[in-house]
Amino acid sequence: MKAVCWHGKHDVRVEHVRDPEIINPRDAIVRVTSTAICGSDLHLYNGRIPAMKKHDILGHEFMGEVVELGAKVKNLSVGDRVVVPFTISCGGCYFCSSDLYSLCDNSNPKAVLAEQMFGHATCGIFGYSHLMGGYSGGQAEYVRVPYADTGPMKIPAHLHDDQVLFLTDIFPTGYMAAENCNITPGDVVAVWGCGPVGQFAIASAKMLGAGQVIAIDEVPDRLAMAQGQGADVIDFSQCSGTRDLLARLNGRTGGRGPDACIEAVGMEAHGIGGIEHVYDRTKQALFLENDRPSALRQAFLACRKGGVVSIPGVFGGFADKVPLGAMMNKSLTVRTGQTHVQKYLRPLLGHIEEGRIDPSFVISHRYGLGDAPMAYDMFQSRAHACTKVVMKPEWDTPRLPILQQQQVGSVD
Amino acid sequence: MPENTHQRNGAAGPKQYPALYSLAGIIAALFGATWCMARHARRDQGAGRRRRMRATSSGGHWIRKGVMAGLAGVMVGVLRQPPEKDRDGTRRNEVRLTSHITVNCAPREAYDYWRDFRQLPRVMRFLERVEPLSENRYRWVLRGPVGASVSWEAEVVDDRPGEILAWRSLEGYDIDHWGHVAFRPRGENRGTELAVELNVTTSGPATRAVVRRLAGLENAALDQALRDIKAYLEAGEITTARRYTHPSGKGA
Repeated sequence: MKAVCWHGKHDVRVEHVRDPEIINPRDAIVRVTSTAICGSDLHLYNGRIPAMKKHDILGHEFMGEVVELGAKVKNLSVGDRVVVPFTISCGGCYFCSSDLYSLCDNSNPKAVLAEQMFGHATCGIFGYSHLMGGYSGGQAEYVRVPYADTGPMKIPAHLHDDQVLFLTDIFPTGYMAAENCNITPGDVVAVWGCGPVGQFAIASAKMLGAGQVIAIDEVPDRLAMAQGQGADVIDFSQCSGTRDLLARLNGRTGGRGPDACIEAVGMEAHGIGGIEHVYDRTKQALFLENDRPSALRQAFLACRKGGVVSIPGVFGGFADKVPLGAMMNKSLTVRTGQTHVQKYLRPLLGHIEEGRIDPSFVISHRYGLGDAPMAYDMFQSRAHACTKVVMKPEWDTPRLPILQQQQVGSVD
Repeated sequence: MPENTHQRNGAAGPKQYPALYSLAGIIAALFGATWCMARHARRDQGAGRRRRMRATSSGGHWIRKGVMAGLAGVMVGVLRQPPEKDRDGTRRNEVRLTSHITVNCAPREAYDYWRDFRQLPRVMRFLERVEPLSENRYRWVLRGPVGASVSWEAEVVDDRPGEILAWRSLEGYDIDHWGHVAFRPRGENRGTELAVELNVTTSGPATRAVVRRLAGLENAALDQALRDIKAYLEAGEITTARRYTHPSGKGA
């Protein structure tokens, strides 16, 4: 089959690799019909994440058709159209039983690595480094999906791929971020970062009753998209500094500050080896990839007393100079975590079916798999108003014979 | 059952053979000196052809280097000489592993999994098989180096379903092995804690190979075994990130 493989910093290639097979009784093989590039894939693309190996297949947002099932999967049939959560969860451990699917005890086969990094291992994630289990990802024609009786959800025929694809990650991620804010009607919610997750956080905050959403970013088309959703926007590039940003936020909230702050930027400072390495990376604190002070610090300082700081942004290591004084003295609540996707699939599908939201609004580009290297480069540079790239493996013509089992190297 | 539950990682590793370091150092020194002298002799023979490859140092220099390396080897050997016994008092030919894990099931389920000793090699990769001889007696076969294996018979010595399971090897084997598992409920819907101790002591030259094998048997191996037992009990299978079975057809 064809798959998008990681080779190094700014080097992804479309390669022929061996088709996946059923290995465990709870596996399924899914033929991918749509797959997306996530903002967090860019951190792999930028080589920021260790524990990646050459030829690792990327992608954790994908959906498709079930083509093969393990003996123990009873709730799916061959031919079903499913979305697949990016979190791999066993469904039987204490955490899965408590709806905390991303904390699954059993789905990370490289638990030792993760324990060294985080103290305890969290769930496996498709195509997201060996720290997250080393699973092959969904930017491919076929994927082996473990615990298929717990993750994938069947999709009604009348909904098309683009409407439901983001149930796999970014919609639930934005939704959980908003839900974590304990929004009461009329609350002011500030959202740092207007990438796809930020956009869904804005939409979800509105659905959950926020009176006002203030979106902070500096990319014009993303700010425009936020505005289109009814958010007030602050163009960070117009601010002279953190104090200026805080003053603007206070100015729009009667001096109190936002009731809840969502940090949808992330700071993917990773490093297994040395704290020093991680420290250095962290010092380049990201604010949408410029060198300004980090969004997290701003969120702590901006949040009103007794408010909530919700962090869907991905962090991997150690953060430098986070103002814990503000957190403690202002009685802030911090809520975060990888998304418990399985918990949100059905409720959010309901929102889509009832027409409250059409998640396809974030899509800016659609390609075949073969265009992945170009698409990564474009998404990385934010060129051509690139917000979200969806790839359709079927679009690559001529279709390659899927019986081909040997690795024959790069196609492009 | 010994009271001592100190965690101990590994057993007889190379650091416990100081003589080897010293010997390797001396051999390195002799080899270095011989090689340099031979090199000199060769260079003298082919002087014309090798003029451009003129050595940057004299043969004497190389000999000095070799001798220094040898002395360094001896020093390393001496400095790394281990104490007679480890701090926790365990003998050097003894491997003691302890670990615990919480499994989301009733104590009895976890006990039942363990009580069927035949299943243990699925999760303990250092075991080749455990075969039942009677209700309470089992033959344990330890996977030895290069296909060799060592076996012994063990008897269940404490069997309280859902609470305690302990076994001990019988007299007359070069290996003295005992194991102890406690199953403790963690409270309403909080699963069962398994506290596991394994101890293997070897004696007699016949088991030297096994000792070497056991040198690689670290606490991490037991930790992983417990993770896998947990996975079987909670998920029904051990997760793997592999995409396809091995060409040999050996799956999972």
